[in-house]
Amino acid sequence: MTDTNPSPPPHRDGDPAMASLMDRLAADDAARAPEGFEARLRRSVRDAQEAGATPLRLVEHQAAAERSQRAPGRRQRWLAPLALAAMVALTAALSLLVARPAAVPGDSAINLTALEAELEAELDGWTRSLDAWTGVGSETELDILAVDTLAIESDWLGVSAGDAFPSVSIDLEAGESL
Amino acid sequence: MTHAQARAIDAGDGSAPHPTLQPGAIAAAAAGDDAAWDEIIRLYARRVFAMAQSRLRDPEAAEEITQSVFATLVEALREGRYREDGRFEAWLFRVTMNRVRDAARGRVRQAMNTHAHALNLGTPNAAGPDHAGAHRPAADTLAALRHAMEGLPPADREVLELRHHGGLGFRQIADLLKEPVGTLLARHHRALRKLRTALESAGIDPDTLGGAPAASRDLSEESKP
Repeated sequence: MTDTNPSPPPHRDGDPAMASLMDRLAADDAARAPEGFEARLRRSVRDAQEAGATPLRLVEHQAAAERSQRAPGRRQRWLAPLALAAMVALTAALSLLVARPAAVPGDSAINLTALEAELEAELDGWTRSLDAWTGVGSETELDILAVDTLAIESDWLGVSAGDAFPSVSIDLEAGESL
Repeated sequence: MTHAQARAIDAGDGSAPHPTLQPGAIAAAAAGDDAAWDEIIRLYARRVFAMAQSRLRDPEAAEEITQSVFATLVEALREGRYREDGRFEAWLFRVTMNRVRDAARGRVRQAMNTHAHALNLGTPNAAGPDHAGAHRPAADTLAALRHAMEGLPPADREVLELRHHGGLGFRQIADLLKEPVGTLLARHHRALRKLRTALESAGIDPDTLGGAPAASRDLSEESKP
């Protein structure tokens, strides 16, 4: 029997009707460009050519990205590694104490000033590293982290935080900046 | 020539279905020729935008990506990082694809919103060109198609977007994705079949939509009447 209604010839797009529909979807998406889209793009390209600088809208985009990094949801994401780093910093600080033969919690012979300086130096190094690593530059949160860690240290020493670290310009008991 | 025939020829010789740059245009652009840049923007800006818009469903984000891609192009030409070897489109859309991937990854957390947004099509920019002409399928058909696209595996979706939104030929896509042409043809065919199945499940028959195909697409603002 002769096939009087042959199939269309093989087509590289496989399904011409669907391919056509996809073309229309693409055209519809292209038509959603905001008004003045190409004019802005030309201006940005010209600015970048002339000044060798980042186009204005990219600068705005980077600023928006930085703002979003400071948003609460974003902050929660990078607080997790900070917490881990804090544990490492704490371990490092404790190792300094354990290494001292005469260092017994509550022992008045402990040189608190020297200990404080060591801990501060240790934590300062960590906070600088974290600051550079995260690229966020949120000194406030890193300071709070340091305060919390110092407060834990003072508890371990069995002395009040204020007595243990008198030169730290923060309220260790409250755990926040003065 | 029908749209289907045009497509077949394209796939056979590997050329793109869109107009391409004149020889020497890239070198002229690198030398700061404004007319060459205008031509590059006219030919590619909306195709880059469409790829980003298809994935992100956010015109502002899509414009940012387009700006970013062109900024990369300016820098690459200025610093001699792009070497003209006749593969400009593959290079440009590789940059685009990477930017879109990055942006899409950043939006995984908003997947539910994206899904909802896909169904909320609104109206394309009234000031923009009506590329689909008077035979644009009903908005609900495009909405259903977008919804079906959301359900495709990323590799399938990427081939479709490079082909239809980016306007690349299969050989260019193969060059870009570093995969054999045959593999991409098969993937594209399977992806279209999945979309067809999804549309038919939604009660839409793609074969009855008819109308003039959008084969001749000059995706530029200059094409506005």
